[in-house]
Parts: sequence; C-alpha cells; structure tokens
Amino acid sequence: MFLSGVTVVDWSTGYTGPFAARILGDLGATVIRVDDPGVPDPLRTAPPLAGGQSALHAYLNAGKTIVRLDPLADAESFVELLAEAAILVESHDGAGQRALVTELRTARRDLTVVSVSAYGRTGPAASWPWSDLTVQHFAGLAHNQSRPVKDPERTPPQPGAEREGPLAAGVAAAAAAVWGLLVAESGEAAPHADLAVSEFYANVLFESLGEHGAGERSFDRRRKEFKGTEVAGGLIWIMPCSDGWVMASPREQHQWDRWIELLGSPDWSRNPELCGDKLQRKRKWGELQALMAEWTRGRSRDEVFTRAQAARVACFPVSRPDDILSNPQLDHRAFFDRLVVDGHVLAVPGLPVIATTSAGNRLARGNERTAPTPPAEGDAA
Amino acid sequence: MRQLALAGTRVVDFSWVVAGPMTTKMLAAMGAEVIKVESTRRPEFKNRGGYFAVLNNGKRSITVNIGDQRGQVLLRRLIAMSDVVVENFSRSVLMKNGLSYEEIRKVRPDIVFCSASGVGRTGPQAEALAYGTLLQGYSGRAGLVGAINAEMEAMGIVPAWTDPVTAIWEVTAILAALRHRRRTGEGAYLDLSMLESTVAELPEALLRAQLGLPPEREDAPARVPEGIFRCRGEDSWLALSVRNDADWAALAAVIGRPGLADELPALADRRMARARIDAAVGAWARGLDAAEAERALVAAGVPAARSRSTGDILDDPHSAARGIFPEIGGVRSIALPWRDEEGWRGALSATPAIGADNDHVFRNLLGLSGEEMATLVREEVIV
Repeated sequence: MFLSGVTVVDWSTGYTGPFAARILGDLGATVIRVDDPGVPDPLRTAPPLAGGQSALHAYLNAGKTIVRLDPLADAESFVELLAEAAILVESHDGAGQRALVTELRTARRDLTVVSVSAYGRTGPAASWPWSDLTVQHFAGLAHNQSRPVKDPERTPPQPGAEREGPLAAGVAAAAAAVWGLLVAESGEAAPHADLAVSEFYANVLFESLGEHGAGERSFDRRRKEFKGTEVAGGLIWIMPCSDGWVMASPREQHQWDRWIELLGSPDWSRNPELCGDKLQRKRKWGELQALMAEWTRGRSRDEVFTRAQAARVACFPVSRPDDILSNPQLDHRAFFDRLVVDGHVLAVPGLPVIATTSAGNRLARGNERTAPTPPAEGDAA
Repeated sequence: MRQLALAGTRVVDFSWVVAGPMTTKMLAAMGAEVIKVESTRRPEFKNRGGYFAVLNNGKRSITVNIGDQRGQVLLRRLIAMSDVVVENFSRSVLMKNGLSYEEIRKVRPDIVFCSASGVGRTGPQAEALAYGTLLQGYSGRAGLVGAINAEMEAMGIVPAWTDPVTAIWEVTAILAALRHRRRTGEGAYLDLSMLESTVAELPEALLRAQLGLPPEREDAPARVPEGIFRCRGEDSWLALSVRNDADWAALAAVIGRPGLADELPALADRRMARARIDAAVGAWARGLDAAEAERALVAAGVPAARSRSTGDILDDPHSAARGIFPEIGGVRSIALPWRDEEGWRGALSATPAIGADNDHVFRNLLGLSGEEMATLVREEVIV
C-alpha cells in the first residue's frame, strides 16, 4: 500500500538489514532477498530452531522472494536484478562488495542505498571487529541501561533484551530507506544512507544527554537517593502479586487518592510522614512499596491491573512471553502474524501501527506467511 | 538542499514528553516545518533545558489554549494548511477539544494523522492510562533484560527504551504515509501503539516460548567466552565476544594463555570449560586499563569494547568524526541515526523559546491582524 510499486533488494545478513527490508515489505514494497553464497548469513542456522530451520531467520525473511546469487561473482545478474529496484539494503564491509556498491551508485542515480553496519562506514572505529554485545557497550547503551544501581560492582553495565537493539536499528534503517525514496522521487539524486547500529543507540541516551546539558559529566552509575529525575522510586512502584508482578504509577495527587481508596484506605495512608505529598512519597517510596505490596500480594496481576485502571490509575502487569502471546489487547488489534515454519504455526510480531488511508484502505494485519525456502545450490537468479 | 525530503511539509505537533517530540524532531531534521503547539499554562513546557532541549531542535513554537473554542478554530485553520498532525493525547482530551482524526479530516481530508498511544486507539484496553515506563514491563521486556527486583535496577524499566523505539516507528510510518500521499493525494490515519512498538523487537522471546525453549539467557551460549569483564579503575568494564575459533585463538594469545586455545579449540569444549575460561579472561582484564584491553583485542581482531558512559561516548573521537552528537544552542544533541555520502545527518537548530513563533504563525500564516492577535492574547486564547 504505502510503498506499492517499490522494489527493494535486500543484500544483507544478520538482524538489522533483513529487518529493515521486512518492514519495507510490510509497508507494501516488493522485496527480493539475495542469498549470497559468498557471504553466508550466520542467522540461517541460529537458534531458536523450528524443526531444522532457524525461526528467527524465517521471521525476518518471510514474504521476500529469495534468489541465490553471489553479486561479486556475477555482477551482471545483480545489476539486472536491481534494474527495477528503488532501494538496496546491504550490510557488507568487504572491499569487493564496497566497490560494487560504489559502482552501482555511479550507474544508478535513482537507487537509494542503505548500508547497515555496526559503527558506520567512516570514522576511527569503522573497521573494528564487533558483536551485538560490544556495540551496545561501545555506544553507551549498556552503561545507560544499568544506571542508577545501588552497587555498581555487583551490577555491571548490561545490554538490552535479546535482539531488540539490532532490530530497533533496523527500524531506523527502514526510515532511512523511505527518506531516500522521497529524495529520489522528488527528482534529486538518490542518497546513500550510512546507518550505524551504534548511532541508533544515541537516541536511547536522550535522558543522559539532558543531564549533560545540565552540567553532569561523571555519569556515575551509583544510585543517589531522592534524585529528582529518577523514575524508579516514587514515580512508579513495582509490587508482587500471587502470579507475578505489577507496576503502578499513581504519581499525581488525584491518582494517589484513588489508588489509596482502592487499597481500602489503610491506616498508613493517613500518615503524613509517609504519604503527605508527592515529594514525601518519593522519599518514602521503599517503605510505601512494601506496604502497598501487602494488598497486591494476595491478588492476581490481572485483578490489580483491572481494578487500578477502573480507578483511573496507570497500572500494568509485568508480562512474560506467554502473557504477551495471549494478550487480549494485542489479539484484538490482530498484532501478530502467523509464521509457518516446518509444520509449526508461530505467532510473530507484525507492524505496530494500524494504518488506514483516507480512501479507507488498511495495511493488512494478522497476515499468514510461510518460511522462505531458499533456492537450492546452483539455482540461477 | 536535496536531503531535505520534507521541505514544504508542515507538521502540527501536539505531542509531549518523549516519543512524539523525538519523532517530530527527526521530521524537522529532514526539512519539515514543525509547529509545536504549547501553552505557558502547562508545566511540562516550562523547563526547556534537560532533555527537552535535546528533543525539540528545529521546531517552531506557538502557545494556544486548546480548551478554548477560539483556540480550536485557530488550530483547525492551521491544520487545514498543514500536511501532518502528530499527537499523543488521551482519547478524552482529543474528543473534548475537537482534535480527533474524524474532526480534523473534515478540514483537511488528506492529512497524515499520527496518533501514538500506550496500547493503541482500539481494543479492550484502549482507554487504559499508560506511561512508557510501565509499558516496558507490560511488553515483557523487563524480565528479559535482567532479573526483576524491587529497586527496578538494570531490569529494563529505567531508563526509557520504549519511547525512542516508538519514535523511530512513528517516523517510519509517517514517511511511508507521506510517500503514499505524494503519489495518490490520499491522507492516512496512523494508530500507533507503544506496546506494539516495543514487542515488535522481541520476536525471539515469543518464538522461544512457543517452541518450548528456555529464554536466551538460560540457553546454551552461542559464544564462549562472551560477556563483561572488570578492568582496573573505578566502575571500569570491558565487553568482548568470541564469534568463532579464530577469535578464540587470538584472544587466548592476547591474554597470554595460548595453551587454552589448543586445549579447548571448539565451542563445545569451551562451553564445558566456561567458568575456567571466564576466570582466565577475568584475571587478565582485572589488571588492565579498559582502554588498553580494548586496544589489544581490537588490534587482534577480537570484538571488544570498553563499556562507555554517556560522557565517554560524547567525547569519543569516533562520535566526533561522524557528527552524531552535534552541539546545538550550547548543548549536545542527537543527529539523525544515519548520514549520507556527504556526511549530512539532518538540519538541526536550537530549541525555540516558548511562543517564539506566535507572530509568524498567527499573523503570517493565519493572517490575523495585530489587533486581533492582541485581543486573543488579552483574552488568554494565545497563552
């Protein structure tokens, strides 16, 4: 729909480039994936496996047309394949591949190229060896993710969840591709976007950049009590339930009042030392958390969530993956696609947006896709 | 300038806090004229330092009382001559002030209207009150980053992740919708969910749950060694990954234990001897400055990075060479996440003073006379 008529060639490996191309496909583009025997995709065999296939590889590449082609060995076929393409997503750092991309850019003024890499194509760290883990530490994401903590010695800086870092950078790569398309479709020379995964992470540092602007320089990870901008400790609380955890944020006075009423207006809630005002509640957040837990502990997450929201208090359960898969809100919005891999039918995330044009057309949700079957060795493009 | 793909595109920005402002900042960086609708009466617009200054580069600011009907008329007139609306109001505020998509499309049928909310504008929980922080727990991310603990430390709740991720999805959706609009003349309604934006990056956890496999952290490690090691000096750490047997041989040589590589050449061997390997690497790293350790491993071709703080990465020569943290208006900001072949990475200018563009918008664009404007200021419509 949005990108109908656009052909994207995906000559990338790993998470970021293939996810970018998948997103462009979900937005309506036709995606042709180059399965390059010269640079095998390590994801092809990466866990988790469904039957004998990598379920993640299947998820990232479902819906794409796959051709087996080594662009270095057969540049002519590659150029032919790109003839109808408006966007090339690639992730190669070999000299031969780089030279081929440069050649293509010279020949094709209308081809947007998005080059995805760990640290970018220029700069002193451009050619550093990398892993998803080291990039997150290099970029400050891991340090930021583990700040503040009571005891930095026992809580080292740590990266994000699973593949969320490189996948989120893939969304940025998709944005770069559409930006390039807009430039090219306005008649200008199509750009070459150089997207460094490490630089997507810069956006996650926005709060500490704000601190930098206010004079912070040490970025000490040690927790300072009552620090005004700290969310954990007085703006949100986490409490145990009979079946897991909930988080609530009765931060404003009117929300607090309704929350306390829900908790049955216990005696402690009338103690001004504990609950006097927002600042006092921030100071006493730990004690309050323990007292509030007395009410939540015997109840299920769903009961606390439902009753708090009915009282207009922001509150949600802390979900486990199983909870997400059966979440009624996500189900109602048909967020999940179904991916068929080797006989398994698996729910996988779709686009996080319901998009409807003014003509009433809607981007499809809840799609069913079959894992791609790579062409056998020797098949021509 | 050819990179300003959104030149001539006007965005009316009702968003506040983080995700929306980060979105419209990126649109401004690509050349859009972003008009941020603020009010001197609202406390959230008072403090323009801190991260506000990082998220609001390149925008115009107007002040309007959106609760006043005359304010709403002005805004509808402005939207009628604009291309995009971005908002993250609660549904009741939208409806009450006549700013819902249904109302707005009456005055601008081809508007691209991006509505970001906690869990989406439809569904049984559409009315739920949400904050990004809570959604990090609700999305399932929290338990995947680190163990859940009462202090909410290093478990994926603090600091914000959902907001920047939502922002980049928002940018992508708006750009795609604008492309469609340029080709067909059609507008679009984009109902974007912060919950979905966060879950969209967690396919692995969902796949593992459905396939009956343990979470990645508890599964057999794909790389040994891989992790974070303590170095000399306060809170100083080195991350490293051994991707393959060649990395392992190089690492073993750098740490002065080449015999370990001979003894444990394959991943299966290293998995069995993980504790011993980690101890050997740990003993080596403990006596070294992290930068020194990083240099040695990188030179040997082993993925390694000193765990940099925000201060470190702001001062890093690589960041400087690539211009990711430009200084704008006296403070360091964040450029677009990509650059082009000329090193361009977005047009960014200082965050506006509140109401700085009232004259431009109300007089030049909407054609109010000086007298009409003075009346609206006096009667607290422009406020």
